[in-house]
Amino acid sequence: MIVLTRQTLHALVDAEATRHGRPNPGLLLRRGMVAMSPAGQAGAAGDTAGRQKEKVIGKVVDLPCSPEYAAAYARWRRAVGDDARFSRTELEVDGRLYIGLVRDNPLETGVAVNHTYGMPLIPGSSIKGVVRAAAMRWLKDRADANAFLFGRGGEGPDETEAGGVVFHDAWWVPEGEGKPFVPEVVTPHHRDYYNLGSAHATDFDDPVPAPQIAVRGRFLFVVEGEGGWRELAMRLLTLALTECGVGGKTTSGYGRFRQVDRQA
Amino acid sequence: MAQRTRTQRYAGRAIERVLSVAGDAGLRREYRARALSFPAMVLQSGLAQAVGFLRAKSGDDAAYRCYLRHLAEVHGTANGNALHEAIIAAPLPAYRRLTQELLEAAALIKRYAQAEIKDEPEPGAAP
Repeated sequence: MIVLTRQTLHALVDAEATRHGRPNPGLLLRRGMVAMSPAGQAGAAGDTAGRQKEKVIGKVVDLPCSPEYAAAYARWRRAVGDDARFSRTELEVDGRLYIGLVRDNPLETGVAVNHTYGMPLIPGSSIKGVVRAAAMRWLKDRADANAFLFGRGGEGPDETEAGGVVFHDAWWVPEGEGKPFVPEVVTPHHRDYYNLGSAHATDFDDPVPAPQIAVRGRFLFVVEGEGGWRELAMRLLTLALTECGVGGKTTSGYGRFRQVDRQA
Repeated sequence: MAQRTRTQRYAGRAIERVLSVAGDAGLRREYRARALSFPAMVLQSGLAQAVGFLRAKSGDDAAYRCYLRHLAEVHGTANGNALHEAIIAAPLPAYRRLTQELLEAAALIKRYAQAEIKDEPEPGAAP
């Protein structure tokens, strides 16, 4: 078994995870693997690396929303409550969302989370990118509108322009003891063919399940700016997220949203 | 003999090792991917997790094994296993020092890999 945590922290990691009962999910995702079996081998308990990852993901999935996050969300909701400056909408994930999926960690999966509270978060930059891509298709004859909404780059200060509306990070909407994280799995069937190119893909290859983590639930989307432009941006945002989706694996159906009846 | 800085020592070892891989068609693409991703892994997950992960994957993946060995050698440690054990046993001040040194070593390997190993498409992908 390969240890992934310094010896001085061994007693702390597992005890901390259970003592308070509500560890930060983001921290658990990044540092929750205390040990890992080498590739192709099983640990003392007979666990392979895949099974060990499943256990860590299972701990994260079981975490409910903390009261601290619910309070922070309420503060955010009040801060963006001015209808003269902000437009808001709640959209629900239609299925599952992969946002911030990374492979550069021992779990080989991940989620974009709020650093302080560990709850899922859709970065404003991602939202703006999806909306801009959609607007470039739907408003392709209105370069002036796109330039105002999203800004434009250029050679010098006279050619560059910041966008006229702000796309804020989307916060996950806490509801009671709701849990935002869900386990997922991808199962490559021809690992050597896809990763190494060293073999042909055949029917004799073994599937290799790889545990992943995704998100469900509702998010609060907020756009800030002047009246008409803000409303246009919010309409584009709603269309882009319901028709195109955001995050990873949108071609497989992940990352799409649906509108909900409740007013944000 | 003129003194060399730590960066100069690391750089000399790093370029030698990257060039030794650049001519290996079966290894260089994955080695380059490891070299580019490792510094971010240290920043996100911490040095212990990052090096431990390399060691766990080294069992059946030549690129991970080679990269871990090079990282240790550039740093001046005998091999990847010894490096990992030193990290796991380190008290906090030593751990922070190791993180700084290994980030420097990894950054040099990354830059030389970017310069000396061309970005190749995935096997089976259209050129």
